[in-house]
Amino acid sequence: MDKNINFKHGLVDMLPMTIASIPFGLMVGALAAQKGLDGWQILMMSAFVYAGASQFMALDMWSTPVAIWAVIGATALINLRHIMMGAALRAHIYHLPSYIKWPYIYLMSDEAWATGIKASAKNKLTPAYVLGVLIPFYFIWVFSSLIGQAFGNLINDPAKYGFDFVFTAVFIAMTMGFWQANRHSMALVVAAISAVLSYHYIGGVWHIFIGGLLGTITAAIMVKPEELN
Amino acid sequence: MDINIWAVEITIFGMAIVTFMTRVSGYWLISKFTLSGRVKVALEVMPGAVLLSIVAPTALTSGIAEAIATVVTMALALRATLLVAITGGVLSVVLLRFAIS
Repeated sequence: MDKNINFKHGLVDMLPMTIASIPFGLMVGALAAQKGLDGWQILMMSAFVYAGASQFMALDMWSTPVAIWAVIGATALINLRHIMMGAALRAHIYHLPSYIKWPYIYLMSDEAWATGIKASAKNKLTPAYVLGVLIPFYFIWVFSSLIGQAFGNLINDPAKYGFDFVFTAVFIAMTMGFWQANRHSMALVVAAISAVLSYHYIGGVWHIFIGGLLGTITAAIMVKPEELN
Repeated sequence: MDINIWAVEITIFGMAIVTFMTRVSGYWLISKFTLSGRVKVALEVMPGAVLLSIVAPTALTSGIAEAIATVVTMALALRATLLVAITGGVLSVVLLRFAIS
């Protein structure tokens, strides 16, 4: 059960998400090109902001001149989920040295976060494993968004090849990994229903926060007293 | 006038700062609390609940092809590796869209 997981284990566990991030990176890069960003600018955005969903949305609302505060505000809103994610990650990475912990927090993509927490259920996370999770995924993301910017016009109809569904498929597949791992199916049903409802009646990106929060609260309420320790 | 030259860079920099703040604040906040049983359960369930909330609206309500492909992805994810599930889900959405249109 407790084996010393290394760089290669991290890389392999992340590989499906790394591969799936390529079309998504290409799409973000292509969108950046259409909005007039040059190679350096998309490089900076992918390398420093490093949050695919919010980059996609920011570029979608990008205009010339850019509405600075609106874009920054929307980015904060779509990334609110990171607050919950960081809270959930803490117990799994607390034992790691600072030079691993801080990069993990800075580069906490949904994928790296979910992979780390899932692996941590079986084995204690090691510095090498975390680097295996973080590094290849990071560089593939930055690189594919750059390529997308350079060849922006090649992918003008992402839906034709199902590229637009890659993101959805990745997240659904990752969710199922947690579904097996816990007994709180009701919480996930509540999360899904409330996310759909708030998406249609409130709009914006609140569904991420509302669904995540209501699902989580459901689990905390429904747990039986004898299961608490 | 001058600020306009750097507007794109300023926006990207601002996006990077707010994103990092969201990433670090939950980690920091939770250290201020002692974790009771129910909070532990909540943190355990949170990953799945957040991931599902991100995609549930697009997965379930954007069309019949997407909804069926979502079910295909879920079924594959329970039986096969992540890569098979993701590839199978994407392939099925392409085929379904083609079949339906």
